[in-house]
Amino acid sequence: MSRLFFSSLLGLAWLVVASGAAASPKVDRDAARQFAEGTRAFKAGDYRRAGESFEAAYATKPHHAPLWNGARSWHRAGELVHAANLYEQYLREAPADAPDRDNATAALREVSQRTGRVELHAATGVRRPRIDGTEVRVPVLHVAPGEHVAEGDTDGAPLRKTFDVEAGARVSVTLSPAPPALAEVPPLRPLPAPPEPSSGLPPIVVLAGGVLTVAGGALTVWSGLDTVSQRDAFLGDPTQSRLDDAFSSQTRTNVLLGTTLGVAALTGVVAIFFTDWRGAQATSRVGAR
Amino acid sequence: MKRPRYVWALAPLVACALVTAFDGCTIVNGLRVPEDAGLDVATVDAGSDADASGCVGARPPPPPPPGPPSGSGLFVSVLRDFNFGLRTDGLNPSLGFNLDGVCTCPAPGSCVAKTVTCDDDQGRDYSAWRLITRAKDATYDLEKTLNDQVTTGGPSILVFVQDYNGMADDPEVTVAALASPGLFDAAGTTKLTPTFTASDAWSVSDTQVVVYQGTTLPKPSSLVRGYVKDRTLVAETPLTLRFNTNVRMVLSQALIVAKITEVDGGGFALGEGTVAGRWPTRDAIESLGSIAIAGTPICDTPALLDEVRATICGAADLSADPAAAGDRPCDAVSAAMTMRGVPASLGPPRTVVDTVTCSDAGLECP
Repeated sequence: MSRLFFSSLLGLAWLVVASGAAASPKVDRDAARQFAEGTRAFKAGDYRRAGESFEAAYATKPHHAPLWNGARSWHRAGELVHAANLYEQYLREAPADAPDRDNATAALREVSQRTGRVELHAATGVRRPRIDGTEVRVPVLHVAPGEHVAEGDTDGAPLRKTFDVEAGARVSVTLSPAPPALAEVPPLRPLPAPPEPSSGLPPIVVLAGGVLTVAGGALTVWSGLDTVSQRDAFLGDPTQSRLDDAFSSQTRTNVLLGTTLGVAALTGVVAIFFTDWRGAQATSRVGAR
Repeated sequence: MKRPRYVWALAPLVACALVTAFDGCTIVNGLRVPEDAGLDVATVDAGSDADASGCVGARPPPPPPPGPPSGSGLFVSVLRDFNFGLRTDGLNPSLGFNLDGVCTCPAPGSCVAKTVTCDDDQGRDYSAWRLITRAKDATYDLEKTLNDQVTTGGPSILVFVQDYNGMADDPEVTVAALASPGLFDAAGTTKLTPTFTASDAWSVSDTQVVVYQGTTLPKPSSLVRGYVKDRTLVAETPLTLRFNTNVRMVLSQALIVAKITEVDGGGFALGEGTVAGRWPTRDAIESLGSIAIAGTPICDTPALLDEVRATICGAADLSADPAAAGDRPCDAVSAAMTMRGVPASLGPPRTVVDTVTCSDAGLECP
């Protein structure tokens, strides 16, 4: 009880201070009157009326003091869901050093054993989220244990989700449209068709190409190993000059690699499509006789 | 057409050359992406099966089947149009990914939280919205600050992608998230208004890049491996969003998931995507404590710092280190945002100046 009066005094003091600032005198008068009505009702044991008056005072002039008093009133009235929601709101809005913060935390813990705690999530684009038809504007809501319905509006079909919550339990409910079907992935780019063979070259061309490929491959391996060595040097001591050396070596390897690959590919293409092997076979047969 | 025997003998020769070439590729790539330079393979758990509680995790798309890295595509995008998904009705936003693999509520969290924060029904972790909302209530709008500074050539994030094969799926690409101090003229003195095309050469933090023959390249330590699935890039990398010189969001392991789009005239850029990660509480307290209220930083006003610290520590829902045991106190706040990438290029290195506003005192959660 003393806690309540402490807060009541704090709240009234705040209203007096605030009235000297920018607030409208009528708003301050109305809030003070509602606050005083709540205090009188609480003293008289009419906790319901007290709760309503403190909430009216908060609605007239938001401040955490009437929230605490309202929560205590509804708690005493046995309206635990209502009380829990006001305790939550008080803890969200009261400053870190508010005198009743620890008491509110303890009271909420006690009340929460007999309510269900719902954290409502909503995706972007979901409007007017509701639980049991009442619009929700807070991230955490206490409800009576049992079955409930969460709803929301979207540009498409309205969302509706039924959920169950037991006393003392926490549930997470998400209002989110069904994910869109995966976009169709563009087909892979087809490889160009191989060119048609047109004429025959002597087999010696293929042989020369093979020799060049082997030589180029050997050079590429040497250069690649040198690049590795340069890279290790850079990683060991990452200076700009070492980086420049490493990149020079890499460029050389790239050029050699490209050339070797080009020669190898060209040799293969020439061997498969442009070489007149019949001439070579005829020659070998003639030689065998 | 019948070929002589020595022609078939050429086949091993050509195969040998190809093997040599492949090895050569590995060697060459080694300089840009060295295996021993802290390059992380994206270990994103991209599974989508429901856990024991029936919760289906919101994860990035799974990687495509492994294959030889064959791509040579390279592109750079600057991130803009950040959206923290704050709702005007005060509800929890449903945004981001299931970072810890746990669907908190009904399952317990992945660490010991001061206040249990429920994930959404797909396990998405995102509790930083509470901090961002409180900062906005205190007239510091992080989202607006970030977007305004990008559109005027101020700090942002550049995402560098190389080794991309240009296809819908690529099992291995190389990615860097680079902090850009902004877009400046050639002299580096005047900020430029971006055109959001590849001709914008955004400066890059000199701790993350080197210059080779006039070309800015990420340092090996800035590179990580990612993959592309259904034209969606997935990579996990440290990332720092700077709101000004001392207010920043340091994400120790940011998950970047973004569509890859083809750009008019050729090439690629990131499109719409999501960034989610772990914001260590200490960094969050120091950063949000740097916000000045009526000219005085929050951390210079003990009562305000207490409130900020209580809010941040109360919102902590993850371990900063994903490998930490589940019985440890939560020491990171989960963060998420959507964003859009647009073409850009890497400009000259530039020193990022971090000013220190708050002392070490009071930056830890009690």
